[in-house]
Amino acid sequence: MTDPKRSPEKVRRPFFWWKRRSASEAVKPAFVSDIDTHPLKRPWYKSPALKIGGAALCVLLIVPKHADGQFGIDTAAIVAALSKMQSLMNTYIAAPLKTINQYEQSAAKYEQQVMYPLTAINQAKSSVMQSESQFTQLSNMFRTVNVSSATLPQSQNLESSLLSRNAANVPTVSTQYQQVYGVVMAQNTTSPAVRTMTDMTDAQAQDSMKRAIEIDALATAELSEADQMGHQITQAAPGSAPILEAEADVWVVRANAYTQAALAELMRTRGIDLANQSKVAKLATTDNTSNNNLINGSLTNR
Amino acid sequence: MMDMDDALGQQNLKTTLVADQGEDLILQTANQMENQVAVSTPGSNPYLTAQAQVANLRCQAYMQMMIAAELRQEAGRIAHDNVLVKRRTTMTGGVNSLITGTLTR
Repeated sequence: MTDPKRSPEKVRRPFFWWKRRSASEAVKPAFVSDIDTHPLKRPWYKSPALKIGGAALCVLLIVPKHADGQFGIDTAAIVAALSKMQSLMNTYIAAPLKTINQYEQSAAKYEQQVMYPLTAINQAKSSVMQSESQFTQLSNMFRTVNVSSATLPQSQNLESSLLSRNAANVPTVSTQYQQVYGVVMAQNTTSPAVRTMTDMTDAQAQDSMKRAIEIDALATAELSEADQMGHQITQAAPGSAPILEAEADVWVVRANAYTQAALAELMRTRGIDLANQSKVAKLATTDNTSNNNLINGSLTNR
Repeated sequence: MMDMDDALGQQNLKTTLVADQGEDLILQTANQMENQVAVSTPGSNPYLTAQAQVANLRCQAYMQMMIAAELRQEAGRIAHDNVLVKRRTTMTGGVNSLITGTLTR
């Protein structure tokens, strides 16, 4: 069954010329009679010119147009505004920044040449190192020179404890003291007043010896701390040296307190000594009075 | 007791020798620091002030050591006096016993 829309007489003509030529050869009639004397009449809307025109119109529609940017503002106006802004920045920002930079450079130069010159800092560090060396020598003399002089075993034991610079030896002092200086007299061997005075004097003597050991230990600790801080000063920056100074100040305040404690102990010891002499004078007066009474009584009874 | 008294006396005499030598060194260091202060700048002064405080701490420590020696000596002195009192009491007790014994016979 044939397609009613397809006519056997209809000849399709390709769009391009080379295909058109081969197509015309392919449909060439075998007989002269087959040649149609009436050429085919094409409709007006299938003309090649119209197709070319339509294609060109489509291309023109598709190709993007040249557009104006910045919402249509003129580029020249923008460039002018930017130029004006640059001029303002040069006047009101760049110039002050330049002045600030000059001041900063001047300040840095002042600090380098006047405030913190490297030569002066190195010279101060050298001076500190020299002082440290001298003080280390002196500290070693105080620490290492042996001043012990006792010859007998009991006194040697007491002396070694007194010079130990170790607060852990404080409890052993009482026993060693009694081995050297004896104990308080037994009851009924003397008057209570003399026993009390003797006991108090022994106590104060032992207190002083124990406090001397503690003060020696504290002084040794202070010297160690001073050595450490002195070493840190030689390696400190100008900004960190005041921190070490503050730390040394705190230690000096503590050392003053310890010195006051030692002086207080010394004052107590001397006070006890003076009180003992006074007590001896009082006892002598009492004894004299008693003796006078006895003598007077003896003479009177006779 | 006599040995201990001698030992304490000698200890303090030896300590005074060290202290005298230390005094010379401390004065020498102080002079050196003073000379350094004269040529110092505001930036190098903190080193010297810190060093002076450390030296002050050391001097306090030396002072404490000498006070400790003085304490030992004072303690030994009152202990010595106390021993004399104890001995006197013992001797008095002995004399009393002798007199009592003589009178009893």
